[in-house]
Amino acid sequence: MQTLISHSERDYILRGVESNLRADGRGRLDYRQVTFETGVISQCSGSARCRLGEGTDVLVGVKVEIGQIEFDGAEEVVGSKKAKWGRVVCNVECSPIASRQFAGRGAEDYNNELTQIMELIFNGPQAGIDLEKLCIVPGDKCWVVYVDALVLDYAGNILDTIFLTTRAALYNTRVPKTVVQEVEGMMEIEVLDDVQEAERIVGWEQIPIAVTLNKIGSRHVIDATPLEELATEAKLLVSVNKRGKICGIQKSGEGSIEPSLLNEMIQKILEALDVRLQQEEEVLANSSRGGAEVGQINIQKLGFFAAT
Amino acid sequence: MNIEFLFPRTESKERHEHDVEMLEADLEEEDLKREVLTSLNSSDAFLMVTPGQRITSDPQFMKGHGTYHLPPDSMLSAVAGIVEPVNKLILVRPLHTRYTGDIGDLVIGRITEVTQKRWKVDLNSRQDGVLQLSSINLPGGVQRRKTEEDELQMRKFFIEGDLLVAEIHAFFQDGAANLHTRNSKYGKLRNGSFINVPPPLVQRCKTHFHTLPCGIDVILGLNGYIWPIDDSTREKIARVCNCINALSQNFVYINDTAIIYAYDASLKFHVRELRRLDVIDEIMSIVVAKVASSKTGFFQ
Amino acid sequence: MDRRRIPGPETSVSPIIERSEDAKETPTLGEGDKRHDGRKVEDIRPIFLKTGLITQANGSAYIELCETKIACAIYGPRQTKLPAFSGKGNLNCDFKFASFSCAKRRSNHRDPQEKEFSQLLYEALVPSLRLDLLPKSTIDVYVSVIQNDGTASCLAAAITCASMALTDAGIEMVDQVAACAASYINDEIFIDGDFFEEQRESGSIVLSYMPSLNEITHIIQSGEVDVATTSQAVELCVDVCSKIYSVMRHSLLEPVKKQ
Repeated sequence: MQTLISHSERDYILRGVESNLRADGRGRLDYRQVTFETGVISQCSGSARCRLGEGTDVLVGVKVEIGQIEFDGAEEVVGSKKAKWGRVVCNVECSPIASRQFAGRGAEDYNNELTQIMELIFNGPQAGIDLEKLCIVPGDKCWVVYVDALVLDYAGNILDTIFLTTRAALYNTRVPKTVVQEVEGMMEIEVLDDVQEAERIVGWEQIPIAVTLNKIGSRHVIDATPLEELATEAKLLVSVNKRGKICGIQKSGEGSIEPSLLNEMIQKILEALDVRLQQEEEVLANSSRGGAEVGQINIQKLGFFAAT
Repeated sequence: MNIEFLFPRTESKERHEHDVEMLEADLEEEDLKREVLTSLNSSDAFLMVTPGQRITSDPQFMKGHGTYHLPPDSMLSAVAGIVEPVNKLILVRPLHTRYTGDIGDLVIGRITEVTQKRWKVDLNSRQDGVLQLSSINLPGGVQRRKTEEDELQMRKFFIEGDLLVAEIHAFFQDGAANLHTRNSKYGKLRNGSFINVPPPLVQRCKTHFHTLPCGIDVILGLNGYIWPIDDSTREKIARVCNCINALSQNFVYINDTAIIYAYDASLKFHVRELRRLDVIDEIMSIVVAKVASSKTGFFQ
Repeated sequence: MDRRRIPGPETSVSPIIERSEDAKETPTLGEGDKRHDGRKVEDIRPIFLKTGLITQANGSAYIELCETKIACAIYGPRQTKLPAFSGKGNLNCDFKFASFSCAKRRSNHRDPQEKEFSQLLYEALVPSLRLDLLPKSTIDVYVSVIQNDGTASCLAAAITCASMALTDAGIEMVDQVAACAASYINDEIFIDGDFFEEQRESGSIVLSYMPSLNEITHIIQSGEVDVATTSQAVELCVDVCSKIYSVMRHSLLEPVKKQ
């Protein structure tokens, strides 16, 4: 990951953004090609991998585990609702193999920033997932959906890729069936290990994805390259679900945005997202090639990284 | 606004599941053939070796970079690469490596640090290069001694992040390259776009400043950094950049001819399509055929 | 484990306190469109804002919105210790909840949310500062939340407070930053929601704004929200920020006028 940019490069990018012709020939709102694969890790309840252009590579693994319901600290009215909810826990790790910058403690703050944005969108009802369906014993046990994103390669626009991959991984996820029995006043949970019985997460259709707009000069671009990210003054991430509702907004970067421009940017992102959601779904529906779908555990892959 | 989703292209399974025994037999046979490298008019064919492979046992040859001596008389390769005989000296050039400089090489570098009287320059090499205040031309070509005043205003000439084109003047004791920009052609880079390719792909030529027929100037740094320049037409620069990227992705030597071939082949596509994987494949198949027929060296 | 502190049990659960019958079912919008504490939806809580309370700091500010209490101190600009050169100054933000400030006890270590808030604070403040005038220097911003009555409004108050403290420290800036939070409850926008409302919200927004320059320095929104509601909330928050700005100006100038 480059950290330095010369004045003339910045200027070149700025002029490119103004004339709607970027350094790699794309227009302001052109996306790179996305290579997409689901069901890649056999140890996971669901997984997906996504490559953006010839660069950014994100692998998301979803594991569902039985955990404690968390509802303390809330008032009773709210606590009683939360007592029936399962949880989604997100984590992002930028692997040092993607860039030397991610080695050691260097990645900590960045990982945390990305994780918090994931949490903003996936932790709560706006994520679309039916949290009540994840509950096993109200007030006690529930399914915890652990979403772990691993950044394997970096060529800009990590966040969009993470959200795209996460949605695919959650689509790919199967939650095992459980049987709850009361034995001597204790709740006993039996997890059925029949993979055919396992069910898709309820409400996955409404899982949002996100698009980042990078403000460069007085214009904005989509799907920025690392150099463009260095020239970016402010970024705006907007997350939207299939109902067309906003599920999270976050600005980052060191610049500021005019209110009218902010509105315009949100509109642009909405348009972009609408198309993407539809197209992603079509791809997901077709992605069950090679039997790497329902109940498939023996995922044999030769040359995991060879696929481009 | 449109976005395209692809499925990963995996090579067929058979290619991965090699028949180990057959391959072993193959290797042994190849080894025998190659073991005695006596006639060295092999310039028409590339000899590829892997580390530990015997190149020759003829004592008349001298070992160069990328080789080592195994007593009593074998010369073995230390890297995976191509054997390059120079008279009696045998070198092995690695397929993939960081840049190792030579005196007189033209390089493109990025300033990483400003210290007293010198700049540190990233050269895509194992060590940062050094550009001394005394080895630059002052802006406007003013001829005078550098003063202490200049020393205090080093950032007026080059600041961290700046790109420049320079020549390797000498090497220090520790192996760091000493650069100079005392030529009107050298100096800070402007009005262009930066591309990074594997250094072995850039061939040493008489000149590394090329003007392509489309009117774009390209500077091919031997360290794998490339800078196309033009003042007006961004579209052409973008096209050249994408062509160079396609060449480097397909591991084809990058020189003016290859770039021109790729550029010509790319003309039937819109510039924004040139990053598409299928388009790159199509262009490259044309380029590879052309390069092979014109006998300009390439390897894939 | 820090042995100097009194170790608590490994896990702890805060008690759920039953509310008295009437309070439990308090509707969020009562008679006459009044909220549970008597405000209207677009009203903010009364602000108490004062600068220069911390003697050791180069600049400081304290903000109080009813039960929310935040102090902020600025140290610097000072020489950056790292040898690496940067032509721009550094802004180093540290956001900390006191262990006793929230409904649930917080650990004394920096948790992920505090790290996130530090980052958000940085991003909200940095567009307003003229860091290019401070090469090789660092400004430290320390925010300490003494009492938290609504986490989103707490972040907003912290941004406002930090901007005041930076002004107090005499650091050059293009404009002051005022920030405002809002809760989305039943498709309505409740400006400056407190903890009670935050428990019932379906989403929230925190917006920070430079009123004189008409620029948004930061925005973060959570929950599932309509596009129209979002733009309405942005507009409302921008208006409220301008009001907060007048409070900020007043509290800066008033002490001087008195003397």
